[in-house]
Amino acid sequence: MAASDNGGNKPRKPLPLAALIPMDAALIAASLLSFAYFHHVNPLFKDKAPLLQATIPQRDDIYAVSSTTAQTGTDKTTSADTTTATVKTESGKTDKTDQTEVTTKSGSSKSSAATTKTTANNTVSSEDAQQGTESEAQQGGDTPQSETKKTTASTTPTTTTRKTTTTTTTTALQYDLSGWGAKWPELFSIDNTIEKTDHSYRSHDIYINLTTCEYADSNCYIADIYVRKLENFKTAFEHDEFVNGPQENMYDMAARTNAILAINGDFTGGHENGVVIRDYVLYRDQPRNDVGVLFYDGTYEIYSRNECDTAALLASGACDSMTFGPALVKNGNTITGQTSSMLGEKHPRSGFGYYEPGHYCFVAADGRGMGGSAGVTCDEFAALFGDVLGCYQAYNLDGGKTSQLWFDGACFNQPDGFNGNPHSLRGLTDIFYIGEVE
Amino acid sequence: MAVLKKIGAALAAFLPHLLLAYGLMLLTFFVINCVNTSMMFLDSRISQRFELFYAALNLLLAVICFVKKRVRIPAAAAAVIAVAFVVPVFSALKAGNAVPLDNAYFRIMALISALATLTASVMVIVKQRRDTRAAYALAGE
Repeated sequence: MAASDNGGNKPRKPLPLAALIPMDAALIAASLLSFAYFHHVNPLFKDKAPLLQATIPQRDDIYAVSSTTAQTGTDKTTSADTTTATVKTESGKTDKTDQTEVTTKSGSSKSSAATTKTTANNTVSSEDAQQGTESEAQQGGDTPQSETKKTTASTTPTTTTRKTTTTTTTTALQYDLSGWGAKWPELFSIDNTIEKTDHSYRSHDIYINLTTCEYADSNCYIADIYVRKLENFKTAFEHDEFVNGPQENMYDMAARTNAILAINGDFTGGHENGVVIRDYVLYRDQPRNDVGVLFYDGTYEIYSRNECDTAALLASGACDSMTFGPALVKNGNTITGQTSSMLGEKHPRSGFGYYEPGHYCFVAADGRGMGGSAGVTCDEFAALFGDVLGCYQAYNLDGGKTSQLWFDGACFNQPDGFNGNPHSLRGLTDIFYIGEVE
Repeated sequence: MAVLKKIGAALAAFLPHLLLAYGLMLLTFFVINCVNTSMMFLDSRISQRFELFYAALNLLLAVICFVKKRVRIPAAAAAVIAVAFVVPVFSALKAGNAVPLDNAYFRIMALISALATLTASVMVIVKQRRDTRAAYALAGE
């Protein structure tokens, strides 16, 4: 370098330009290499070992409530159709037969209140609906805690053989009532067929219906989700590793994980704090905000920073955590009053809603001018979940450019800056997704 | 004291070269970000640290330039723009968010700041070399 000031001694001869330019080039190269090391290489080798593996609770009993709930739906029967089905438990050892009265309806079956309000499309094809049942439990979005209604059907554990009898002329159906299927037997496919449209997906274990609505000057995308088992609700880290490194594109993550429906997570890899539990494994234990926790039995609870006792959560069977926040709906109460710059302004947002075990929703709201959408404030987003969709719990995920809802091979919403090229999407560190159990 | 003076002089001589490198890096990040946002070159955690350090170095260069009374305006302008550029980073850190408010402001300021820093650092280097050459010639006479 040019050393003009030499502490009062005779000035040194300035470096010739032919020497200075290579030295500057070397400095630039060194700077780029050091940055590349910290941005790409170091995070891959940084020790991100899980802190604790939770004991996964015995899962034989978690669907017991579901079968009872299915039976409660018979108090609104309008005609005779009796189905005797076998309820298979997780272990497969305690099979029992429930005799459940089901209804034959010519109309379409009801889904959640949220779906009813936001979609013009029906949730079940008419052919299936005619053969389907109407279960009071389908209204779980309104009454997530109402699983103790009166039971009119008798439960008689007998053999493991499935048999169906019917008093009508319609073809008898053999609904698989295993898992949470007993709550919404007509939503899932009876066999292993998969029915897909550009806004819905239906298989033996999964039912998804996507709708678009205009809300608060923004396009909102609502994915109503029913799963047979919690195993269908999955999460993934970037490159399958919990690292604070190069993020992974939503298209790549969804394709790698065979996701059917995916939403961005809480960008947990980019944060340096927050409670991170994924698939019963604790990766980080530094509460920073409200924490949403999905438990082994499909229930979802939201804890404030002070309430969050990670050890107790793990002991209670915490399966996955969401650590962005804030809570939008807590125990049925819409939470408003967010005034900070990020939360009080209109932006694209993503959120997760919970109705009852097995029934959830992903919601993304466009913003920043994409598709003419201004975005939503956090209060508006909370009202969408609480007042419009009727969620019992709802939690705000990372928003802005991160807000991405992916369905069946393509982005369903219009993320900020997305021009159709997958690489124009912001990379993600984690996603929540719905997928088949392999 | 003499040692401190030597260190200060070396720092003052080296700083514009370092900022030249950092300015080019930021310009590279901006271009990469335009091509592939997924790489998160502008708003990952390590990038945010780099940007904060970059703004601090710009401020330091401006202070040195004011003390030495050379290329003050370009250096001060580069420092102000660099600070304005990292304001979203501060906001993100204060709000506990992983990434800055990702609007056009942040990306445009990255470009402007990189260009301003490159201009200022090149001007400082040229001025330094002129001064050194003049001082050397004067000493030789």
